[in-house]
Amino acid sequence: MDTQSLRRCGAYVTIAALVAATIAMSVGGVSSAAPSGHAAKRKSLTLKDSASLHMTRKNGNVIYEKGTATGTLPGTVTARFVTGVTKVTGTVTLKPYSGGSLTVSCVGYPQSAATITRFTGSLAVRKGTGRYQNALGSGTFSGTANRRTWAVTVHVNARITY
Amino acid sequence: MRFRSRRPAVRGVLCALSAVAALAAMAGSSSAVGPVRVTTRFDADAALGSATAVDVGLQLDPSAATQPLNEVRFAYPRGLGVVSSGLGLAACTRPASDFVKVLITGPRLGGCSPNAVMGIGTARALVKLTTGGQVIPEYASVTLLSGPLARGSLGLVAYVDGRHPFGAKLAFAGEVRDLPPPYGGELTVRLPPIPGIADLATIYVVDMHLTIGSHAIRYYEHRGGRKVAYHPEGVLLPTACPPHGFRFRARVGFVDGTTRTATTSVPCPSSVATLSSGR
Repeated sequence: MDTQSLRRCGAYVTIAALVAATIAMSVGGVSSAAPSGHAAKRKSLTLKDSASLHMTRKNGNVIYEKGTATGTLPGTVTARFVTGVTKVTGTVTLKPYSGGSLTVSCVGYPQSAATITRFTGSLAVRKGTGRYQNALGSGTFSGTANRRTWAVTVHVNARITY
Repeated sequence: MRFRSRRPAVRGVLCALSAVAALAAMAGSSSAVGPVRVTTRFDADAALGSATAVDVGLQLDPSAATQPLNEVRFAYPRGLGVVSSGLGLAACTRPASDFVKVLITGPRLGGCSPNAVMGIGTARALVKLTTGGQVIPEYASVTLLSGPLARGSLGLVAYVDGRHPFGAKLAFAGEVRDLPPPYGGELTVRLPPIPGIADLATIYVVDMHLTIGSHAIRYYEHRGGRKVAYHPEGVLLPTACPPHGFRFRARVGFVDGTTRTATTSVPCPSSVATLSSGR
């Protein structure tokens, strides 16, 4: 087979593969089409929750908290916050009473150095379990923290797909 | 006598120097050999995972120092719970003009809340008079207070309260900022010249001692309608020790632009607290 024939054959194979892939995607085929099929089934959720947390322990500049959330997804909340001078970063896990869990990364900024300080920040949904195992999303939050007791109240607005 | 006519100003200078020294004392213990020596230690019974006072001492060799200080920076190690401590629950806010004139009047702490106090200590400075070359030691108490949050840093106010023989009150501004690892943050206090006394005397801070989270600090809170005093929780140690101990760094700046840096590592406490401890 000469070089030109080989190139022509390769082109046919490529075209055939693309056609096959297109067909597979359009009919929700198995294996390679699975991610697209899954994406088609994704649900979206506007999360509006409020949570009250209390400190469970400290480890240097790290504060651990837990509490409960009410709102769109009521449930229990655990959190780990790394405190900096002007910002706090952390990981928060929400376990809705209805099942599954959502874990978000967050960064918050205190607004004052008072005992009761307001804060605002943003969050990104990082992972989940159960029905939320493929969850993605982002949002904002605001609240207050008592720097004497580290009791925290926070209000979250987030858009999530799962 | 010219000096006598400006005694209040000289007092201010002395106090300013004392404040600088106190700030320098916030730096870690120094292994550096030279005009600056810093020592840092925790409570004798400090345990990993518990709160401790951080005791900082700064000694400057006046025979080697040819310039007054104008800035002191003190970096503390990553993982140390300064923000998560119970310190600095109020913000001391002073007009910017106070930090320009340095010499202030007013009640103790300049009227700021005692709940803003983060550290207390002492300082000693040598005042070398321009005329006659007389050297007068001045002793002062130093108080470090938290200030307002602004522009990516937490403000600091350092009060120097001269005790003997001058007794002036000085206020210096500073801030705390986050630092990249291996440090967690850095406290800075700026020590500008005190207006009007530069031609009268030169002040050399020779010894400073500051205890952040000192057990002598008292805060107040309302419980059941009553104002109750308590000891705020000190600086929180993590439960795991850094590989080479807790590293501190002090940087001292002089008016001619030169700097001196000293670093140290505080050894790891041998015990570990089972729970985060308060006081």
